[in-house]
Amino acid sequence: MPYDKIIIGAGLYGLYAARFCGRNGQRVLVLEKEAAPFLRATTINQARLHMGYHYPRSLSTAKRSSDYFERFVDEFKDCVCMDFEQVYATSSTFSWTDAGAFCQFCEAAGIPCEEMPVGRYFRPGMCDGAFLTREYAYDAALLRRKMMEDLAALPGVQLRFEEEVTGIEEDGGDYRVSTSKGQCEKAPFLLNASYASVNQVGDLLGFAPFSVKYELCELILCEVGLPLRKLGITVMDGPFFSIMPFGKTGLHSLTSVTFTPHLASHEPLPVFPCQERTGGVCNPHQLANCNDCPAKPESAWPMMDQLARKYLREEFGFQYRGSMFSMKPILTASEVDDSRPTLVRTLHDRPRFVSVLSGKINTVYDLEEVLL
Amino acid sequence: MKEKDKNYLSAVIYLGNEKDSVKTFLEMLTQCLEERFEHYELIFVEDASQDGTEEEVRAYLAAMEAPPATTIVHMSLRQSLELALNAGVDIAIGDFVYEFDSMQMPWPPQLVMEAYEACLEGSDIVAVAPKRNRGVFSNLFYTLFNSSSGSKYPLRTEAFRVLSRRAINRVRSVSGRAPYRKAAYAACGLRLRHLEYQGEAAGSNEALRFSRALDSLAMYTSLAFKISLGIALFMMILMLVAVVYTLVVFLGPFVNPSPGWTTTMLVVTGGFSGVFLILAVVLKYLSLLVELVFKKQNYLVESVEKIT
Repeated sequence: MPYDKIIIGAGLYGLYAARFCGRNGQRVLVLEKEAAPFLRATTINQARLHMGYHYPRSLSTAKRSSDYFERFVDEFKDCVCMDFEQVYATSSTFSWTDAGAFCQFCEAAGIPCEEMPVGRYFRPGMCDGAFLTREYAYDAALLRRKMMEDLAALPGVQLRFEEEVTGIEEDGGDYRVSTSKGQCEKAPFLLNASYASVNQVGDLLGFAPFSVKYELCELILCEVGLPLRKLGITVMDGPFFSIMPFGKTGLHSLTSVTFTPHLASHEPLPVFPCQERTGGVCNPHQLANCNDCPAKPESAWPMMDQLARKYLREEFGFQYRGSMFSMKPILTASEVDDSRPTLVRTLHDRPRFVSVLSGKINTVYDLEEVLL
Repeated sequence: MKEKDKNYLSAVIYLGNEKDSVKTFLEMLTQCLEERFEHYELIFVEDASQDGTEEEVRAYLAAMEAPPATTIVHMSLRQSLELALNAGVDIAIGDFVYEFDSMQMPWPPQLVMEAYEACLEGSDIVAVAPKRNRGVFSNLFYTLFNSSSGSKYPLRTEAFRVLSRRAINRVRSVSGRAPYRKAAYAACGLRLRHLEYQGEAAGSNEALRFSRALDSLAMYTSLAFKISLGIALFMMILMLVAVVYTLVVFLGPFVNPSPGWTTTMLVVTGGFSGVFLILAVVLKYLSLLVELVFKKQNYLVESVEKIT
């Protein structure tokens, strides 16, 4: 059965593209390795809807995020947790930015930023500025439900789970995709929205990889006391931490720049020592799900806990509930200015092969121009 | 097996040119900490070491079976021991923080844990020190310093120290920066204890010792102020004596000096006594300014005790 497009990966980017094309009357097939959508990075991350505050060294990234922020919140308001205060603070030491620069940056980016008394949240001397900002958190489970409901109404869109792409070949004006279930599908357009596997899928056709560094990251979920319940706190800009509501789950996520990444790989395809302990399930050509991997690392909770408590005042208590692990590809060009562009790269025309790589949820709209 | 301590521990280690000490030191330290603590971290502050000390450290950690959480702070340019260790302590997340000025170990290894015990017993700052100071220059400096600092804890040559989080916070809130940590710790008002060992001090890692010594004397003691004020006052008195002498010569039954001598002398001596008086006043103001700028908190409390 011929399709107009085949999409690899049922994360938000994959499903959004499927919905967009389905609504335009196209026939679309989504292939997903896992048993359900959103089982990896879409769920396992801070759930932050970026308004731009995170990128005080990259005005372009900040502007792009804030442009899409409104649109995303409008469209998915039922899946977004809005009723909390998000406080950004600049650390007194080891920060690449300070209170004055952060304020100036917010003004330039046109995003709200209201100065707060530092001592309300932090121990004396730890931060030199605290700002009340506007930023929300999405709820991956609700987002999944909404996307699946929307897709169910589109007859042209077909989703197949537990089906891995094992080979891609060019066949006239089409790509022929063979899968782990022995199936073979054809389409003139292939969208590679597999995030951490983006280079691995591209490698099947010998395309040049994105220059990324892979990080095996841990997201810690916490139960928080009353003072933190309606509050998110992010300390910028360097080896610090962030604790904020994890969607509408009632839990908070705790992450830190130093302790969230456990292992890193600088190879074009992810090579990690822990892959040896998975019995071949996970290797440089196929990434298994880090979250239910038997070889996942020990939690960095003791360090993260210590780091957050070093900054936060005593009354902001939180307890460990669990950890989730996922693989993240970080564009290597972005280390200096810490920008996080969304890359949509057309690697081949006729048949068309497009790879997308983005670290942010609300820039999903960047996809539209290539899908038209 | 004894249950491990739940406190999180940080060890901040200065990396100078001490390639040869790396292995023995890290072996000793990781073994000590591993035995006692459930979680700890190592923070190396690499301050332009040139003999491959950093590579040696990396190699040692890479060879470890389960290396502890480790951070290396790279200083942009050579900043000397004091600033480098400040940076290390700032980034440390531990409840208790060790500061190692050097990786040489003229002291017995059990002192690492004894120092921590002493900290738990109630001294916020515990320093391990040799029985004798490092040398003639050090002796002179510490004698001068201690005679005029007014602190109840005399300074001395130290090998390493343990700080509680409370001590770090206190030092930060008292002076923001600590240009001379040892003095800042001694002056922060919390309890400090020295543990002594028999033996020599380790070689110093510190560059710019002389200028640091002068800065510290000026900042933490009243010595510089007293000396300069003393000189100003002495000169003023000398000038006043000269005024009196001039008047005595002019009015007295002596041989009259050449014309104009008296006027010149009066102008010169009178003028200079005024200058020195003003200098003394300016000095007093300056010392007040240093005091106000440098010491943010105006009183220091070691502890509060409720007795009835």
